[in-house]
Amino acid sequence: MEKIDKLEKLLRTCSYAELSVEQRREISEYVNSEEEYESMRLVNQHLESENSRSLPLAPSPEVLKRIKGHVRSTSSVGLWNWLSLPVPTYATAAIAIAVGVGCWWAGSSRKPQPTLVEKTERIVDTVYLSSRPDTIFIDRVVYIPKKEAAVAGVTDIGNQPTVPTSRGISMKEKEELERLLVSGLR
Amino acid sequence: MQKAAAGSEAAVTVLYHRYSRPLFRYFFRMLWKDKSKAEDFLHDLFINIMEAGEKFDSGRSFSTWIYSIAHNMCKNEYRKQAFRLAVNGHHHPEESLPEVAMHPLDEQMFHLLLDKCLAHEQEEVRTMFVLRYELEMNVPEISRIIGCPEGTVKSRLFYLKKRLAAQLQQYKVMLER
Repeated sequence: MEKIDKLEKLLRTCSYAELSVEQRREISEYVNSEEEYESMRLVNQHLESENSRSLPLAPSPEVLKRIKGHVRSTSSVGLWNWLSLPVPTYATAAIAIAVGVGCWWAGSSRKPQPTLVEKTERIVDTVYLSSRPDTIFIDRVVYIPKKEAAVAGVTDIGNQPTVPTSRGISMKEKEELERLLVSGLR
Repeated sequence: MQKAAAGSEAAVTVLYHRYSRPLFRYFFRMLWKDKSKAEDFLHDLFINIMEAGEKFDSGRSFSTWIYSIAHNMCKNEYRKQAFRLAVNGHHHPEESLPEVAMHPLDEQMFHLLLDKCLAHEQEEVRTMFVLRYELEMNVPEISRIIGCPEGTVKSRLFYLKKRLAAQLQQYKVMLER
């Protein structure tokens, strides 16, 4: 490649007549004759001025408008593109851990409210009545039937006057009656 | 570039003003001097670079990247054109030398010769020529865009010049007759 670089340099700077014998020998590997060298030199000169001489080519402004239109249409759709982005597993796991830690921290920083539990306690105590009851109820009335039939049979035998037998209230019944009178309960 | 890919209209405008002219010249030269085709390709190129913005390696030169895409677009178009030619037998008309124009070599004549010569060259050589002489890129940059060694670029450009010189000599012979 060095030889081509050297030849390119010579084409730019020297005509064939200006080349030394040594240089002519070197370029002979690539250039066959003086005419060819001079033609290549001419081509080189034209090509070197190619860019400066070129017509001012420019695309029409419509191209930019079309490109901008495309950008607008894609960017409006792109606002929601993040919804369809793939989320890696580690990111999902990290988010879940972060949410868990956040909830735990928020829960621990708040003081627990005291809970009020209503408890009904039954206390049994002795009740004393301050005044005597004004009404007395008698729970039990004992009726004792007369033994008339028995009395009639006895008069015939002994001619003795029959004494009607009446049974009184027993001690137990009396006690119960008195208790009722005191408590006033029915 | 990243802003443009993110949909910033201002960034796209800046990129467009910086690169549209040389790219348009490139497409114009590569696509048979068809202005509307060159404009369509320029539009498509900008859409491509915005959509493929994340593929751009920020460690690389943006200019090299954008011209690589343009080069690939032209290669695809040449393939399509070759297919159309095979199917329909239709091809782009080559610019031919005017038979009556037997005047000394001037700029116009030189360009007719150049176009005629380039029309017969391979697509890669034509790309090298446009990048080197129309867009004034250096050899290392061209080699990065096309993806071939610098030595290959230098030698291909040199032999292109040699072929052009041969065409020029033929033309001179025609003038002398």
